[in-house]
Amino acid sequence: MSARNVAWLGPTLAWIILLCATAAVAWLGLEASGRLRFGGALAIAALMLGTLAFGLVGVGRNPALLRLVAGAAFLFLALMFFLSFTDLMTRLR
Amino acid sequence: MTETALASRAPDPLREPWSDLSRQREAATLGMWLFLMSEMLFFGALFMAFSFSRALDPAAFAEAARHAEIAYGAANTAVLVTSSLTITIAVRAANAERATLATRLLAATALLGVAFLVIKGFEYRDDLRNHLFPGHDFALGENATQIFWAFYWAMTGIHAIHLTVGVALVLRLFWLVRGGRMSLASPQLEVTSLYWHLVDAFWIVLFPVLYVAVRA
Repeated sequence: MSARNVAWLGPTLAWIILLCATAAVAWLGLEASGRLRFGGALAIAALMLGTLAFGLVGVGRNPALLRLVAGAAFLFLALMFFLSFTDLMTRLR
Repeated sequence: MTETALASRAPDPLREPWSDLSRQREAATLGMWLFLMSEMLFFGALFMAFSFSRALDPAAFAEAARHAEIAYGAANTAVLVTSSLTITIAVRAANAERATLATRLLAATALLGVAFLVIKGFEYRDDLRNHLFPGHDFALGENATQIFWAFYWAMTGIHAIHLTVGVALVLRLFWLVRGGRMSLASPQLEVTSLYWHLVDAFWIVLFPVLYVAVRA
Protein backbone atom coordinates (compact mmCIF):
# COMPACT_ATOMS: atom_id res chain seq x y z
CA MET A 1 0.00 0.00 0.00
CA SER A 2 1.28 3.48 -0.88
CA ALA A 3 2.21 5.82 1.99
CA ARG A 4 -0.39 8.29 0.68
CA ASN A 5 -3.24 5.80 0.94
CA VAL A 6 -5.62 6.43 3.83
CA ALA A 7 -6.89 3.34 5.68
CA TRP A 8 -10.58 4.13 6.07
CA LEU A 9 -12.22 0.68 5.99
CA GLY A 10 -11.77 -0.18 9.70
CA PRO A 11 -13.07 3.17 11.01
CA THR A 12 -15.99 3.05 8.56
CA LEU A 13 -17.00 -0.42 9.79
CA ALA A 14 -16.80 0.85 13.39
CA TRP A 15 -18.97 3.83 12.40
CA ILE A 16 -21.62 1.54 10.85
CA ILE A 17 -21.68 -0.55 14.05
CA LEU A 18 -22.08 2.64 16.10
CA LEU A 19 -24.98 3.85 13.94
CA CYS A 20 -26.74 0.46 14.21
CA ALA A 21 -26.20 0.49 17.98
CA THR A 22 -27.68 4.01 18.19
CA ALA A 23 -30.76 2.80 16.32
CA ALA A 24 -30.99 -0.21 18.67
CA VAL A 25 -30.86 2.03 21.76
CA ALA A 26 -33.57 4.29 20.31
CA TRP A 27 -35.71 1.22 19.55
CA LEU A 28 -35.27 -0.03 23.13
CA GLY A 29 -36.37 3.37 24.42
CA LEU A 30 -39.51 3.41 22.29
CA GLU A 31 -40.57 -0.25 22.19
CA ALA A 32 -39.00 -2.29 24.99
CA SER A 33 -39.83 -2.13 28.68
CA GLY A 34 -38.52 -2.96 32.15
CA ARG A 35 -35.33 -4.95 32.53
CA LEU A 36 -34.84 -5.43 28.79
CA ARG A 37 -34.76 -1.67 28.29
CA PHE A 38 -32.49 -1.02 31.27
CA GLY A 39 -30.05 -3.89 30.72
CA GLY A 40 -30.18 -3.67 26.94
CA ALA A 41 -29.43 0.06 26.85
CA LEU A 42 -26.47 -0.28 29.21
CA ALA A 43 -25.11 -3.35 27.35
CA ILE A 44 -25.33 -1.51 24.02
CA ALA A 45 -23.63 1.54 25.59
CA ALA A 46 -20.75 -0.74 26.67
CA LEU A 47 -20.57 -2.20 23.14
CA MET A 48 -20.51 1.31 21.66
CA LEU A 49 -17.72 2.40 24.01
CA GLY A 50 -15.67 -0.67 23.04
CA THR A 51 -16.27 -0.03 19.33
CA LEU A 52 -15.25 3.62 19.71
CA ALA A 53 -12.15 2.75 21.76
CA PHE A 54 -10.85 -0.03 19.52
CA GLY A 55 -12.36 0.89 16.13
CA LEU A 56 -11.86 4.66 16.06
CA VAL A 57 -9.46 5.66 18.86
CA GLY A 58 -7.24 2.63 18.24
CA VAL A 59 -6.55 1.91 21.91
CA GLY A 60 -5.16 -1.52 20.98
CA ARG A 61 -2.40 0.11 18.90
CA ASN A 62 -1.25 2.40 21.74
CA PRO A 63 1.92 1.72 23.78
CA ALA A 64 1.55 -0.32 26.98
CA LEU A 65 1.99 2.78 29.17
CA LEU A 66 -1.05 4.47 27.64
CA ARG A 67 -3.14 1.33 28.01
CA LEU A 68 -2.07 1.26 31.66
CA VAL A 69 -3.28 4.86 32.18
CA ALA A 70 -6.64 4.10 30.55
CA GLY A 71 -6.97 0.89 32.56
CA ALA A 72 -6.17 2.76 35.80
CA ALA A 73 -8.94 5.27 35.06
CA PHE A 74 -11.46 2.45 34.61
CA LEU A 75 -10.22 0.75 37.79
CA PHE A 76 -10.65 3.97 39.83
CA LEU A 77 -14.13 4.46 38.36
CA ALA A 78 -15.09 0.90 39.25
CA LEU A 79 -13.80 1.41 42.80
CA MET A 80 -15.79 4.64 43.13
CA PHE A 81 -19.00 2.93 41.99
CA PHE A 82 -18.35 -0.11 44.19
CA LEU A 83 -17.72 1.93 47.35
CA SER A 84 -20.68 4.26 46.75
CA PHE A 85 -23.13 1.44 46.16
CA THR A 86 -21.79 -0.51 49.12
CA ASP A 87 -22.67 2.55 51.19
CA LEU A 88 -26.12 2.73 49.57
CA MET A 89 -26.80 -0.96 50.30
CA THR A 90 -26.01 -0.48 53.99
CA ARG A 91 -28.42 2.48 54.14
CA LEU A 92 -31.27 0.63 52.40
CA ARG A 93 -30.99 -2.34 54.76
CA MET B 1 -2.21 25.81 -3.07
CA THR B 2 -0.89 22.30 -3.71
CA GLU B 3 -0.46 19.74 -0.93
CA THR B 4 3.32 19.72 -1.44
CA ALA B 5 3.48 23.51 -1.20
CA LEU B 6 1.42 23.46 1.99
CA ALA B 7 3.67 20.82 3.53
CA SER B 8 6.91 22.63 2.61
CA ARG B 9 5.69 25.97 4.06
CA ALA B 10 4.79 24.51 7.45
CA PRO B 11 7.19 25.11 10.37
CA ASP B 12 9.11 22.22 11.92
CA PRO B 13 6.75 20.47 14.39
CA LEU B 14 9.63 19.39 16.69
CA ARG B 15 9.66 21.32 19.99
CA GLU B 16 12.06 21.60 22.91
CA PRO B 17 13.08 19.49 24.85
CA TRP B 18 12.52 16.56 22.50
CA SER B 19 15.18 15.39 20.09
CA ASP B 20 12.84 13.44 17.79
CA LEU B 21 9.22 13.66 16.76
CA SER B 22 8.18 10.16 17.81
CA ARG B 23 9.23 10.84 21.44
CA GLN B 24 7.43 14.18 21.32
CA ARG B 25 4.28 12.49 20.01
CA GLU B 26 4.45 9.82 22.71
CA ALA B 27 4.81 12.45 25.47
CA ALA B 28 1.97 14.60 24.08
CA THR B 29 -0.32 11.58 23.81
CA LEU B 30 0.51 10.44 27.34
CA GLY B 31 -0.21 13.95 28.65
CA MET B 32 -3.57 13.94 26.89
CA TRP B 33 -4.42 10.48 28.26
CA LEU B 34 -3.67 11.71 31.80
CA PHE B 35 -5.99 14.67 31.20
CA LEU B 36 -8.66 12.34 29.79
CA MET B 37 -8.29 10.14 32.87
CA SER B 38 -9.10 13.12 35.12
CA GLU B 39 -12.11 13.90 32.89
CA MET B 40 -13.28 10.29 33.09
CA LEU B 41 -13.20 10.50 36.87
CA PHE B 42 -15.10 13.81 36.78
CA PHE B 43 -17.87 12.46 34.54
CA GLY B 44 -17.74 9.15 36.42
CA ALA B 45 -18.56 10.98 39.65
CA LEU B 46 -21.56 12.61 37.93
CA PHE B 47 -22.81 9.25 36.65
CA MET B 48 -22.29 7.74 40.09
CA ALA B 49 -24.29 10.52 41.77
CA PHE B 50 -27.02 10.04 39.15
CA SER B 51 -27.11 6.26 39.74
CA PHE B 52 -27.17 6.79 43.52
CA SER B 53 -30.12 9.22 43.31
CA ARG B 54 -31.94 6.92 40.91
CA ALA B 55 -31.51 3.96 43.30
CA LEU B 56 -33.21 6.00 46.05
CA ASP B 57 -36.34 6.69 43.95
CA PRO B 58 -36.44 4.66 40.71
CA ALA B 59 -40.16 5.32 40.09
CA ALA B 60 -39.76 9.11 40.06
CA PHE B 61 -36.70 8.87 37.79
CA ALA B 62 -38.63 6.60 35.40
CA GLU B 63 -41.48 9.10 35.23
CA ALA B 64 -39.09 12.04 34.75
CA ALA B 65 -37.06 10.29 32.01
CA ARG B 66 -40.27 9.64 30.04
CA HIS B 67 -40.24 13.34 29.11
CA ALA B 68 -36.74 13.24 27.56
CA GLU B 69 -37.01 13.28 23.74
CA ILE B 70 -35.36 10.13 22.35
CA ALA B 71 -35.45 11.47 18.77
CA TYR B 72 -33.20 14.40 19.66
CA GLY B 73 -30.83 12.16 21.61
CA ALA B 74 -30.60 9.58 18.81
CA ALA B 75 -30.04 12.24 16.14
CA ASN B 76 -27.27 13.80 18.19
CA THR B 77 -25.64 10.41 18.80
CA ALA B 78 -25.61 9.74 15.04
CA VAL B 79 -24.09 13.18 14.40
CA LEU B 80 -21.39 12.72 17.04
CA VAL B 81 -20.30 9.21 16.02
CA THR B 82 -20.06 10.47 12.43
CA SER B 83 -17.80 13.28 13.63
CA SER B 84 -15.60 10.69 15.35
CA LEU B 85 -15.25 8.92 12.00
CA THR B 86 -14.32 12.14 10.18
CA ILE B 87 -11.67 13.15 12.73
CA THR B 88 -10.19 9.62 12.76
CA ILE B 89 -9.80 9.66 8.97
CA ALA B 90 -8.53 13.27 9.13
CA VAL B 91 -5.65 12.13 11.37
CA ARG B 92 -4.94 9.20 9.04
CA ALA B 93 -5.01 11.54 6.04
CA ALA B 94 -2.53 13.84 7.81
CA ASN B 95 -0.26 10.87 8.53
CA ALA B 96 -0.42 10.02 4.82
CA GLU B 97 0.44 13.69 4.00
CA ARG B 98 -2.92 14.29 2.33
CA ALA B 99 -3.33 17.92 3.43
CA THR B 100 -6.44 18.70 1.37
CA LEU B 101 -8.32 15.62 2.56
CA ALA B 102 -7.26 16.28 6.15
CA THR B 103 -8.46 19.90 6.10
CA ARG B 104 -11.79 18.95 4.52
CA LEU B 105 -12.38 16.28 7.14
CA LEU B 106 -11.41 18.68 9.94
CA ALA B 107 -13.95 21.16 8.58
CA ALA B 108 -16.58 18.38 8.42
CA THR B 109 -15.81 17.45 12.03
CA ALA B 110 -16.27 21.03 13.22
CA LEU B 111 -19.51 21.36 11.23
CA LEU B 112 -20.86 18.15 12.76
CA GLY B 113 -19.95 19.48 16.21
CA VAL B 114 -21.88 22.68 15.47
CA ALA B 115 -24.81 20.58 14.15
CA PHE B 116 -24.86 18.71 17.47
CA LEU B 117 -25.01 22.00 19.39
CA VAL B 118 -27.81 23.32 17.15
CA ILE B 119 -29.90 20.15 17.66
CA LYS B 120 -29.20 20.38 21.40
CA GLY B 121 -30.37 24.00 21.30
CA PHE B 122 -33.70 22.95 19.75
CA GLU B 123 -34.04 20.24 22.39
CA TYR B 124 -33.34 22.71 25.22
CA ARG B 125 -35.91 25.09 23.71
CA ASP B 126 -38.57 22.34 23.77
CA ASP B 127 -37.60 21.35 27.31
CA LEU B 128 -37.96 24.94 28.50
CA ARG B 129 -41.32 25.30 26.74
CA ASN B 130 -42.47 22.14 28.56
CA HIS B 131 -41.29 23.60 31.91
CA LEU B 132 -38.73 20.86 32.46
CA PHE B 133 -36.17 23.10 34.15
CA PRO B 134 -36.07 22.55 37.94
CA GLY B 135 -37.59 25.47 39.81
CA HIS B 136 -40.88 27.01 40.90
CA ASP B 137 -42.79 26.35 37.63
CA PHE B 138 -41.43 22.83 37.05
CA ALA B 139 -44.02 20.73 35.19
CA LEU B 140 -43.69 17.40 37.03
CA GLY B 141 -44.96 16.80 40.54
CA GLU B 142 -42.48 14.90 42.67
CA ASN B 143 -39.25 16.35 44.03
CA ALA B 144 -37.20 13.40 42.76
CA THR B 145 -38.28 14.17 39.18
CA GLN B 146 -36.63 17.57 39.63
CA ILE B 147 -33.44 15.80 40.68
CA PHE B 148 -33.48 13.81 37.43
CA TRP B 149 -33.88 17.00 35.40
CA ALA B 150 -31.20 18.77 37.43
CA PHE B 151 -28.83 15.94 36.44
CA TYR B 152 -30.05 16.16 32.83
CA TRP B 153 -29.27 19.88 32.56
CA ALA B 154 -25.97 19.61 34.42
CA MET B 155 -24.63 16.59 32.52
CA THR B 156 -25.76 17.64 29.04
CA GLY B 157 -24.68 21.24 29.73
CA ILE B 158 -21.18 20.21 30.83
CA HIS B 159 -20.97 17.94 27.79
CA ALA B 160 -22.01 20.82 25.50
CA ILE B 161 -19.27 23.03 27.01
CA HIS B 162 -16.71 20.29 26.34
CA LEU B 163 -17.96 19.95 22.77
CA THR B 164 -17.76 23.71 22.22
CA VAL B 165 -14.11 23.60 23.32
CA GLY B 166 -13.58 20.67 20.92
CA VAL B 167 -15.10 22.59 18.00
CA ALA B 168 -12.80 25.54 18.74
CA LEU B 169 -9.75 23.24 18.84
CA VAL B 170 -10.68 21.53 15.57
CA LEU B 171 -11.34 24.88 13.85
CA ARG B 172 -7.92 26.06 15.05
CA LEU B 173 -6.29 22.97 13.51
CA PHE B 174 -8.25 23.52 10.29
CA TRP B 175 -7.04 27.12 10.11
CA LEU B 176 -3.41 26.16 10.83
CA VAL B 177 -3.25 23.21 8.40
CA ARG B 178 -5.14 25.03 5.64
CA GLY B 179 -2.79 28.02 5.80
CA GLY B 180 0.29 25.80 5.90
CA ARG B 181 1.11 27.12 9.40
CA MET B 182 1.30 23.66 10.94
CA SER B 183 3.01 20.52 9.78
CA LEU B 184 0.82 17.48 9.17
CA ALA B 185 3.30 15.54 11.30
CA SER B 186 2.45 17.65 14.38
CA PRO B 187 1.16 15.61 17.36
CA GLN B 188 -1.54 18.28 17.87
CA LEU B 189 -3.81 16.52 15.37
CA GLU B 190 -3.69 13.21 17.22
CA VAL B 191 -4.04 14.82 20.65
CA THR B 192 -7.08 16.89 19.56
CA SER B 193 -8.70 13.79 18.05
CA LEU B 194 -8.28 12.00 21.40
CA TYR B 195 -10.12 14.84 23.15
CA TRP B 196 -12.87 14.71 20.52
CA HIS B 197 -13.31 10.96 21.00
CA LEU B 198 -13.59 11.48 24.76
CA VAL B 199 -16.43 13.98 24.25
CA ASP B 200 -18.09 11.44 21.95
CA ALA B 201 -17.61 8.65 24.51
CA PHE B 202 -19.38 10.68 27.22
CA TRP B 203 -22.36 11.23 24.97
CA ILE B 204 -22.43 7.53 24.05
CA VAL B 205 -23.02 6.83 27.76
CA LEU B 206 -25.27 9.85 28.39
CA PHE B 207 -27.76 8.96 25.66
CA PRO B 208 -28.66 5.42 26.83
CA VAL B 209 -28.55 6.36 30.51
CA LEU B 210 -30.53 9.63 30.50
CA TYR B 211 -32.95 8.98 27.63
CA VAL B 212 -33.55 5.22 27.67
CA ALA B 213 -32.36 3.07 30.58
CA VAL B 214 -34.24 4.74 33.46
CA ARG B 215 -37.36 5.52 31.39
CA ALA B 216 -40.79 4.33 32.55
